[in-house]
Amino acid sequence: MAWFNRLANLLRPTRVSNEIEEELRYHIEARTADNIAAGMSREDARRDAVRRFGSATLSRERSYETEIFLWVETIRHDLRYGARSLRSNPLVSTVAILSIALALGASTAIFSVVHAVLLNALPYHDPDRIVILWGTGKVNNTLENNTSVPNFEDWRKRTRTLENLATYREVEASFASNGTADWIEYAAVYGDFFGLMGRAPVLGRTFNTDEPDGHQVVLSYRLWQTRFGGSPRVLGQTVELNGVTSQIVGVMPQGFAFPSKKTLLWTPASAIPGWPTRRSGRGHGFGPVLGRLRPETTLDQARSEVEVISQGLAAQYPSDNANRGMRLLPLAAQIHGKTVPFMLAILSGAVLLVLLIACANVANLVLARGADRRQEIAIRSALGASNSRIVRQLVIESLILACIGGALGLPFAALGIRAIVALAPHGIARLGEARLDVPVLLFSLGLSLATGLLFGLVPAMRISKMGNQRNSCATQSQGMRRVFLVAQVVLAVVLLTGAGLLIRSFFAIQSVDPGFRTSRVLAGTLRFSSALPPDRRAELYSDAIRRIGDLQEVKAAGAISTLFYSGNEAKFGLRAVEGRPLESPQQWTPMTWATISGDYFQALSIPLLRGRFFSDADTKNTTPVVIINETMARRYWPGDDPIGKGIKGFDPRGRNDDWVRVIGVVKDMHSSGLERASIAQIYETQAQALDDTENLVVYTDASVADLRDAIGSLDRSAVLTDVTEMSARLEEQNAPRRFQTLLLSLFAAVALGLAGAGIFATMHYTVAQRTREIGIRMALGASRSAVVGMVLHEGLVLVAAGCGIGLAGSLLFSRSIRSLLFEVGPGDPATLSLVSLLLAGIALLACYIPARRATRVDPVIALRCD
Amino acid sequence: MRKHTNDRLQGTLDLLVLKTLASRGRMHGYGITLHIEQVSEEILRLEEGSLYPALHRMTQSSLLRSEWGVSENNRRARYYSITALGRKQLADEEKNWAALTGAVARVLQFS
Repeated sequence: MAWFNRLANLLRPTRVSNEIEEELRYHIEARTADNIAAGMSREDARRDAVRRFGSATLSRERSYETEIFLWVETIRHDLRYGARSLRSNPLVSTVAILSIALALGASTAIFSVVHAVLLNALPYHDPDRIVILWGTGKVNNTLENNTSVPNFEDWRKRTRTLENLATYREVEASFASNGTADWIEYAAVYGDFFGLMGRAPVLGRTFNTDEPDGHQVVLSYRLWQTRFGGSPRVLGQTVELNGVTSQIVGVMPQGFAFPSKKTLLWTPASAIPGWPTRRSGRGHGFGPVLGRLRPETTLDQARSEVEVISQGLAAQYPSDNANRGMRLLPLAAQIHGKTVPFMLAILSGAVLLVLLIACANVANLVLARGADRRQEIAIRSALGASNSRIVRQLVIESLILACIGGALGLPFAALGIRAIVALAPHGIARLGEARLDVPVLLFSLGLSLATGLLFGLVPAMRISKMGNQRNSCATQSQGMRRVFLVAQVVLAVVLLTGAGLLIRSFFAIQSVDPGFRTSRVLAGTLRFSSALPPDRRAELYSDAIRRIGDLQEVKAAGAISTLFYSGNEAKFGLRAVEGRPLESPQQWTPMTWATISGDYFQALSIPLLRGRFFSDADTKNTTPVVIINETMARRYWPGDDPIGKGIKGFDPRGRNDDWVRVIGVVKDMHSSGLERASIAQIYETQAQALDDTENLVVYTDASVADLRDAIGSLDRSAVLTDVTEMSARLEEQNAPRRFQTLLLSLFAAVALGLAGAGIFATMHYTVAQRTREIGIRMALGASRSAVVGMVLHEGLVLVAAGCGIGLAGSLLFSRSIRSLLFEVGPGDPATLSLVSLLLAGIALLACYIPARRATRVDPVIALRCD
Repeated sequence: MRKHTNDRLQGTLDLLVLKTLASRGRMHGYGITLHIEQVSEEILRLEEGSLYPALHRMTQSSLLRSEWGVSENNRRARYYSITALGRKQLADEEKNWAALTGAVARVLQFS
């Protein structure tokens, strides 16, 4: 039984090798005895026996290899040997292991984020088959429009490629349980929502969303834990949502957070205010449509069906659907968005470059040590170790190095993950789930092994040949080390340039004037119960702002319905402008409008350029009026005074047939981020529009507590949240960019350090190897400066070559991050020259120290050594 | 270390070993060496060191069986004998060999 023999051999390797030895010894001794019997001298007999046999060691090594399973044993031997040889050169090994640990740790951290955010399956049943459908506006360029409930019903009836259709609407409303008032975000769902998601509640039941009585809620795990202490007795309890009493019927499992982690509960759609109109109004958008691809159906089939159905709906209901399209995308693509995968791709690319630099570094060290070990390797190969055996030995040493590096990198990775989670901008779905779990650890192990092979194999093959052909290979390996050095410099330059461009963009953005005061301005969100009628809420808002304005430390207080807009590309036009012909949709531009109350402009120090601010005289019963910004004034009345002009289309009272008068023009502010140009903006007054103006801005030295006191007695449903300095709000808008810039800069710094260490180590070895030559030169009268110059020249030529190639390569890399650049081009000369200078400086330092060492060579000692 | 690059040569050694063990029964490595030398009248001289890898390989492929025994001069030695599988292999190899040598002989005679 061959396999049994092999297995048995594996279990007793020493015995096998002893037996083989004994067998061979018997052969030689028997031959010797026969030779003696034939009349040879003892000595000749022995020599003849060995000669006939061939080298005994040779044979033993070959026999060994026939014992296939003994391969494991030789590897164990190689491991022991490798560990010993690493210990014998602790400084070099430490540098190598640390650089690889750093690079592997960073890679593992980035991967764990990528894994949690992008690769991990969404926590729903068969999530890859769930798709989302957004309405598109063909005229005004909008991409994420809601679908009305009647349209949804038609979709549900007509589709043959999708099943379990559902739709949802994200709602914010006042929420009260056990007498505590709060404001929460939740989702009102319609259709087969829970069936589609396919997750059972951990407690109680879900609801059938089409049932007419909508006074039930299903809690999220998070709300259940924070608000109800995770008690199983919540079932049947009542909460007040939107002023309506609803019953808790179930609790969803942990991780079920749809559409976002801010969603705290789910209700039937019929529970939201104004449901009857939405139920029947084809023009009233409700939410996006969700569905599951039927078995055997592809995304493309579904897409072409979507095209057909939306054209059908447009033809059938032209007044509501004429300009509506529909686009379908996988749910995962919707949740990941576009910016996060791009950001992670950039970071993964950067960390890969760092890893490659570390690899080149370690490969260089391995090569350099290989040169030192030429003698040892020559002896081993003379003793009959095969070439492949020596390569294996060297590769195993590299693998040990990489695995130790990988293991030591894990604490770096854990630290890195925590730092990334803490520093990352808000709103990256599932980022919090990034951790060192089994897949990430496996990835790390695999990456370590791959790294070990990468930096071990090529040097090992080169070194293994050194034993035979002495000098030619030594110079070849010298050449190879130069290639590695140049490669390192190239990679570092690419990374540094990318980071440099991002840093310059970052500071360019920081220096943009936002167009409003950011210091000593508190911003907060104030809400009153959504169950109150709109005019009562408007009254409460104006009362609250008056009270806050009356506080002694407050210089100005105001509020606005929407403070910042995020990436609003939608285009709009006015219905009519007095004295001008009608605009065609092609002339439309991005435009926003908001309702303000109190001294909003004064609090933010936005100057009035013409006309007047709103006053108490502007009421429901007077002419509707608006204030516009400069961009708006330029767009409709270039070179003309817009004051007193009439417009239609943005009537604060919702009646669009009367002229609305422009009473003032204010300076532009960057309301959709500092990187985006200001867009046309219309301001209405709450006295006429009755919209909620929930975003407070207060120019004050007063504390948050003072504000709370002022509001507190107004209404028991008042909730004031998210109070921060205005400057912090602005910074939050810049958070993704700050995060990217910071991380890329960090990687660039590590790359620079590793490349510097690489240059230093290579030059250090070069000098060490040339000790004898340098000694001769100095003995023949070469000056110190000539020797320094020689070494510097050698190093700097390589670095310059690396810089040159790197700058060319960086143009490619920078182009891929062009969308992140602000006011600098990919080939920004200042950044490129600064990077070159920085690298040249580091290289100079890294070369100078070995060069100085070279001059201290004592010619006599140098000649004696070797 | 040079690998066996010539399969024919290796096959020849295997053939000789199998034939020796088939005709002479149980033998140790040195005995096999001597037998091949004697029978071939010293024309075939083995590189003795290469015999053992072949023996081990064939043992692992179950062509041979090995066991420890006591030699003529009262020493411990490893003895090899042929298995049924080995005999089958031998028959095949002999046929191949006869075909090959016959073909070579014909070429030498008639060309």
